[in-house]
Amino acid sequence: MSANILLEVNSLKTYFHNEVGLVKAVDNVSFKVKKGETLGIVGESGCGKSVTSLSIMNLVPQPRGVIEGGEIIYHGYDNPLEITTLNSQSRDMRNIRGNRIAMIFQEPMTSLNPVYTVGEQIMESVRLHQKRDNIKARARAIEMLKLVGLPAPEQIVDEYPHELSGGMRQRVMIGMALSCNPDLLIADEPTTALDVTIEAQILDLMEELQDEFNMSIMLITHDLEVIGEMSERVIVMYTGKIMEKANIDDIFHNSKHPYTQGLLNSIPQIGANKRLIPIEGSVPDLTDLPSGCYFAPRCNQAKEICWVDEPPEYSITEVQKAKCWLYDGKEELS
Amino acid sequence: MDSDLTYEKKQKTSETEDKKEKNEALSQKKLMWRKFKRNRVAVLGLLVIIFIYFLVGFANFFSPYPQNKRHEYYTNKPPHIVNFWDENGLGRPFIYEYEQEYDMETFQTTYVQNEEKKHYIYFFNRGEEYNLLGFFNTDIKFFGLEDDEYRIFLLGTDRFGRDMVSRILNGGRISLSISLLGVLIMVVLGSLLGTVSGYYGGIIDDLLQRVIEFLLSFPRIPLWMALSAALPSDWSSVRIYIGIVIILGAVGWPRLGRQVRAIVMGMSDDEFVQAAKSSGASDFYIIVRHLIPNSLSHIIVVATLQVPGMILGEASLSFLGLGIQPPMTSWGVLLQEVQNVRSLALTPWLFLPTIFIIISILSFNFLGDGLRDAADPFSN
Amino acid sequence: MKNDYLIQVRELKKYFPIKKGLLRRVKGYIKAVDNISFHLMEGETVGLVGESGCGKSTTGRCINRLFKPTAGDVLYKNSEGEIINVTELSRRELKTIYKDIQMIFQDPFSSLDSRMSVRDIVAEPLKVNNIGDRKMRTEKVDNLLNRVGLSSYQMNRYPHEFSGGQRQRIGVARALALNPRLIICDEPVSALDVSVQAQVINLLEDLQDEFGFTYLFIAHDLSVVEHISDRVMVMYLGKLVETASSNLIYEEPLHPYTESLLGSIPVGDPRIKKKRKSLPGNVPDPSDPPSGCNLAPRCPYVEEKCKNKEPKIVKKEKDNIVRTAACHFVDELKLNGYKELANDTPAI
Ligand SMILES: Nc1ncnc2c1ncn2[C@@H]1O[C@H](COP(=O)(O)OP(=O)(O)OP(=O)(O)O)[C@@H](O)[C@H]1O
Ligand SMILES: Nc1ncnc2c1ncn2[C@@H]1O[C@H](COP(=O)(O)OP(=O)(O)O)[C@@H](O)[C@H]1O
Ligand code: SF4
Ligand code: SF4
Ligand SMILES: [Mg+2]
Ligand SMILES: [Mg+2]
Repeated sequence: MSANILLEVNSLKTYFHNEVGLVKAVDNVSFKVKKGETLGIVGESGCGKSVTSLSIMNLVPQPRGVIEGGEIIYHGYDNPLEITTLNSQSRDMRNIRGNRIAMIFQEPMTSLNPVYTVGEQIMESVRLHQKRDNIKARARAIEMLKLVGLPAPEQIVDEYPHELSGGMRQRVMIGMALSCNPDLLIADEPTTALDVTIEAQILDLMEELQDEFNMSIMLITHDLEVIGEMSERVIVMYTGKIMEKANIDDIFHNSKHPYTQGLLNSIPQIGANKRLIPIEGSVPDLTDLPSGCYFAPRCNQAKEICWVDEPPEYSITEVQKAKCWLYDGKEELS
Repeated sequence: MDSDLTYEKKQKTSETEDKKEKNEALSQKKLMWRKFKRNRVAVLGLLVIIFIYFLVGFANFFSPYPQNKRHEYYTNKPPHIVNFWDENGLGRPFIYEYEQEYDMETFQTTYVQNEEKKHYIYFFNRGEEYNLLGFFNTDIKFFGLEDDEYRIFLLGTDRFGRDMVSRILNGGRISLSISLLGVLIMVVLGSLLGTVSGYYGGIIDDLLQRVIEFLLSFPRIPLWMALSAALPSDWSSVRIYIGIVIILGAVGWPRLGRQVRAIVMGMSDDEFVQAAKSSGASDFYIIVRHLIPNSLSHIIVVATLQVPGMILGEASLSFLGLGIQPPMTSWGVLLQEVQNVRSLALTPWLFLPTIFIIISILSFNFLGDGLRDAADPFSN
Repeated sequence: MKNDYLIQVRELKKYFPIKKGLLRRVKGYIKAVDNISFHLMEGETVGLVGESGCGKSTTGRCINRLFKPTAGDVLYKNSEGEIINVTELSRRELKTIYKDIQMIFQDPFSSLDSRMSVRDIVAEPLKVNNIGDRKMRTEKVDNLLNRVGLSSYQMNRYPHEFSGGQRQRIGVARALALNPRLIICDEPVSALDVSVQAQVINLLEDLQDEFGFTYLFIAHDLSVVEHISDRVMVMYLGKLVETASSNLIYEEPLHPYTESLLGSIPVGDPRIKKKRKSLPGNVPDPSDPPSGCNLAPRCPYVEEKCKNKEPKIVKKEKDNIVRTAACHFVDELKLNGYKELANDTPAI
């Protein structure tokens, strides 16, 4: 294993045993996160982005959610550590969460506890992971609030989440996540609930802090434009599977997978006054998936085989992979 | 693109559409029912409730004797035990006569079955004439003894020799109907005032809110007591019955009213209400077509969960002598009649109404819980 | 496009009282819409953009009288050419307006009553206006569903059986039921996935071509607004800060707030070198707006004058096209348009 890999996910399968049937929320997903890079994961609602990140945090919702297979290897210690073998509440796992891998969530509103002040919540996470006393923890909390660019941190530290705006709450979340210097920050739709101007502020902040802390970021969003601004490599997900992996430039200028192409064509471009080309139909129900390629009912390049067999992942170049029959003949990966 | 392929693709999609079409359209009601059915305890609760209401509804049919008839020779009799086996094997059910024995040492009367004297139980036989559900007079009883030489008391008799089966079933009729009517009044008042308060807001809302807060600031039981103590003592028992219904309903509505108000308020901002308004729907239309149907499941749940409180309310009031007055009977009245510890030792069967109260309360609670879970069919 | 006013809004204000305490005394006002004037021409699409809470939805709802404006006029020219002041109509008179002005909502989940079948939802506007009998209404629903890309057999289904995009189509069908002239689209695609968002945008465009609707298109996504609108109005804290044709506003904005909005748009393509420019701070509390220019606490070009004096709306006319901006330094500032912010030069 090369030295600059921080996290490795191999054939991860996370399923939900729902009443309506088995939901394969994450199905055979593999990728690597390098040290210091920003990896983007993009896909439409319900395609398994959040479940992927919860699996890495070993926080898959119980009891319906189960990691059915695959491995998640953390390379930040001297020896590789397999996260899926750890108990969700074990000490080792808690140590990784927060100290090594931190996460910020989609909903800045619901992920902060409304009954504690902002300071108490940051202090809590500091104390939990890094034996510091109260005064030092408070000082650290104020320092973090200052770092994430909140005005008057000495005052905000004693305020409750509902007294802050959405953007400020998201800053607090970032401050909390970074308070223990993690190696990997998983940001699950950090700006989806925010206005563009605030989104720009938060993205700026994340870029700044990445340099300062020298950490890797896994940026999850449904917005290809945000991914493009922030990350070097991109994973495109659909119905729990990875459709395409590529460098950001290839995604925008040389995308191979019909789904990626469809997403790009759906986005209105400023200045280009042409009709949008949507992807027809809608994301299928995960309990009632089509046979063959899951994208086939919506794909405008579907071939006969697409309706019958699931395509393997083909290697287009060293970094670019596409799970699509169009590349039959290239080197197969799975 | 290859035309064959487009054709095939079309075929595929229409296939899945066909498949979908076969599944009948599922309304929220059906989804709720489906979910409710999966909750065994709630279904059991529902069945028990239906059974109990059936029993008390046809109380005179199921009880062999009228509730106030005093059987002088049969005072304080324990329940008869029904036997199916005799020397000939399984046959028509029968009971043995009780023989009284007086223990000279403990000065207590005990009852022993006299295996010589057997009385067979007959079904659908004739008894005293009674009125069935107010429709017609009949003298068919569910069960009884053929001749009048001995009498059957499956749940024993009280100190006047009155049949407890009859008293419990007739008492249940009062207790269970009072609580149902009380809940009905509560629901009507609560949902009407709650909806109006939540939908119109403003001064009406402020006013109603103050009233609700005022009513809620009293503890419930003392309020019940004060109100029912205020009912004139010379009222007939029917008027008292109505009075108690109104008291229970009037004391119960504010809580529901407040909940309905909150729901309606939340819903008035919902876009489907805005959509109806923006195509010119009247307030009445919006309330009747959108707000009430959407809060109905909540109202039903609250109502179901309130029935036990009302059953207890009636029982406590009557137990304290403030509720239903004899000759009318209710479970509370029955308990009031055995208000001393001696009875518990000597005539424990007179406490059977408690079991009925507990069973009905539990059943309503199980049902209410099941309804509550089913009311949100999209949650897991 | 006909050269005719459909709606003229004059000095519209909508203040929401803030009530506090036991006696619910009015403690102040949220100035959700504070003195705005604009017009909608027949057959055009006007975009209304701004950060959340700046009063976009309130503006829309004042036009169709879901809200009664605090002050100002909304003049509507009906199909007979009469001019009606919507703000002064009584409840009964409003009925005539409701038919002409319909609305499409943001949330595909809360905008449909989950207890009604699709047929009842789409037929509701017909029913409340006593149009047709049941059979005729069903036929109409059938047509409408086909028009928005759904099938007739889905008529008896319930909303929970549809995806977000399909639900939004149902909402569109409902808005079409009364053959309106103006449709207020309140963030109709904000809650949708991009692939589906494009479907709904195309649908709205097709319907406009076919029926000649006028759209007031409210959104916070500037790329969507640019794509669909002929003219764009930018709103900040209850006021219109700039209005111009879609091209002009993106190419040469006149107001600093517009410039910062353009600068904040994320651009994914790494070959387009764009410096992200964010506006510092947050939108102020609308019940306690700053003195002078609303943007002063966040504006990169702020000067002393801005803090004391509210800027007037400056009208500029070029080639018969009127545009407005509310800034003291409209003429002095040289602001960057989207093209300049996003240079088409290859990265690195
Ligand atoms: N707690 C849960 N119980 C059951 N199913 C779940 C649960 N959480 C997620 N799922 C299912 O797993 C699938 C993937 O969900 P996930 O939250 O990862 O989507 P996502 O890509 O993050 O979408 P979004 O963009 O909406 O956040 C969905 O079909 C969802 O219904
Ligand atoms: N019914 C209402 N009652 C009180 N305040 C409201 C109401 N509707 C909107 N507001 C307030 O008015 C302001 C503008 O709201 P809105 O028009 O919904 O903004 P936007 O649509 O631009 O996000 C916000 O501060 C909001 O809180
Ligand atoms: S495998 Fe076939 S259906 Fe799937 S994306 Fe590729 S071409 Fe389309
Ligand atoms: S008036 Fe001043 S503060 Fe307001 S936008 Fe113009 S320059 Fe900025
Ligand atoms: Mg998610
Ligand atoms: Mg809005």
